[in-house]
Amino acid sequence: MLGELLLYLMVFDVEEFADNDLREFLEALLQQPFEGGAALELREEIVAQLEDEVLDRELIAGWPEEYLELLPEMMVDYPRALEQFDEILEEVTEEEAESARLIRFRKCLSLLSPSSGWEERAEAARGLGSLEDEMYVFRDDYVAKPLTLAEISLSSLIAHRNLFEAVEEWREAFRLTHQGKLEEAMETALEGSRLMRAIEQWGRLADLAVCAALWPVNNEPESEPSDAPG
Amino acid sequence: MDSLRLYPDDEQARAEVLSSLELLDTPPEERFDRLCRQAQEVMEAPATYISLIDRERQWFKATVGMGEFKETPRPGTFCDYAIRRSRPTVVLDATSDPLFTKSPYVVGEPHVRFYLGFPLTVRGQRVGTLCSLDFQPRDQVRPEQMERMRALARIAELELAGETPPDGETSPESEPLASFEGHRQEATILAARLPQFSSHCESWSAEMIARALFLFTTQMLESTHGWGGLPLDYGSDTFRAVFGPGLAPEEHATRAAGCALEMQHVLAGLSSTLVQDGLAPLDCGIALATDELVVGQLGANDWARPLVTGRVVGLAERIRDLANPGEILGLESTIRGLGEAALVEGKFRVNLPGYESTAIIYELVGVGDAHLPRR
Repeated sequence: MLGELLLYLMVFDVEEFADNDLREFLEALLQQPFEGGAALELREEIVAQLEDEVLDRELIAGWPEEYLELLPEMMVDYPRALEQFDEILEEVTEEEAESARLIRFRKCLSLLSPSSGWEERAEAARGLGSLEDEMYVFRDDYVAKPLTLAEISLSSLIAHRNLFEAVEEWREAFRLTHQGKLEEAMETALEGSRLMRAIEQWGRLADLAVCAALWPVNNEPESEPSDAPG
Repeated sequence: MDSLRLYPDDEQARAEVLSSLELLDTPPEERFDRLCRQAQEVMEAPATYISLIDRERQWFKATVGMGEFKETPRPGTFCDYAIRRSRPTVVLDATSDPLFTKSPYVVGEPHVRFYLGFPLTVRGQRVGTLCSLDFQPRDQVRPEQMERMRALARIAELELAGETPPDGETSPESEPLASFEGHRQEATILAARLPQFSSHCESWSAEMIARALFLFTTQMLESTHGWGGLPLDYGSDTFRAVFGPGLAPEEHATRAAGCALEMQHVLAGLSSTLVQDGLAPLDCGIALATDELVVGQLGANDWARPLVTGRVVGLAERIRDLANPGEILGLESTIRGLGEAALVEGKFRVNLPGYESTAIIYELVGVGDAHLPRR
């Protein structure tokens, strides 16, 4: 059970846990049997966190990967699976990463060139506001339905964690846009799109039902360019 | 590529909701002006406003420090951007944000530099904004300012939605007490009180009292709406809500209990902030009581409000007065309604006026996985 509970630290965004909830979670971890050197080491870390006034969320979020041997057996191949995902990501070309979202983003940025007047900028603002909102709505919906224990697998966890990474890339792209760093913003958005596309391919390879929830991020029927016949 | 649509065209649905509010081009009203004044105080800002975003214009329902501005063309406004987003918009320095740097309201009057805008959503449509402006750039918005502005925005949404909708546009689901014909149904009353508030009032300044009550009421309203309840009334240190109208019969006790737990959590968080500010905590006692009620609308055509009546309304208040700070007490009928999900720690019997037998009151500490905050 300790392993399953640790898995949840990979599913939830620890940064968004309320302090009380995270402490309760740590207390629940402490109720589990701890056997062996690594487990006892983890136990000490949990106790130390509970005694501390301020929780070190980054440290807590890193426990599953630090104590990989305590995770359920299905996670034994986690490092190798991560490598496989990275290989897929490496192979995603810019063309493949092109999505309706990215096209809209690029168009908005083009309206923010130094020579653009306020009307063009206002149009860009409307477009960026809508795009950003779509991203947050998607993220909030996704977060509201976390993976259940039955859905957790090596593949789904990798998809899940990279999805958060992809959304973070997009958030950063919007932040950079507001700072006027448009080239960097475009590059970051492209990275976010590449990640999304890689997750999509990963989901197909692993036949992951959970990845169906990720696809709308890339697929927008009303404006998605398609080479598909018919 | 030229025909690429950058944003969805959802103006029709938005315009319909906005129009149904019947607020555009109406005279100023104290309930909105008050919110603007509070927002100005929270943000320590020279200007605040509540605007409604019409198809081609931004119209101000309430303003503070906005001079002659009554309305502006919509294109190029910050709010035209803000209503595209469900989250608040913060622009610390408009002159360095390429989206706004050439806006007519930045390069010209009133030379906006700082903007904070919360979208106001009514029936799923963002119809307007609660905003704060500064004519100097800022470094940050403090978290407590964001929280208080969020609360004010929520109240503004409730005020906007509280307008009587035109005939025929309400449904039993969206307006559960819309009918003037009363009917009987089982429901759960939530009654809350700040039991130590009277003693605080003797030592607190008027400003502190007003702030504490504002925070209390705002949080009560927000939680009630979030759990599908209807606020009935609130006094200086009391609050009552009903859960039942518009809900499935098996849901009201669970929702009321969930709401009570959330209120205790939120108030625990709020209290820690108040204590840091040198104020006393806002500890709240809450009672839940379930029984058959008569529900409907009370009043005249142009001044109607939800009515619930039945012996349990008074019972809930009496049980509430027995609740210690931080406690949730539930009448046995409510605990029955919660079924196996109810987590209780103790019970006691009490004779309550209006209740023929001895009432059994339970101390509710959780429902399912949700628990009272640690004290």
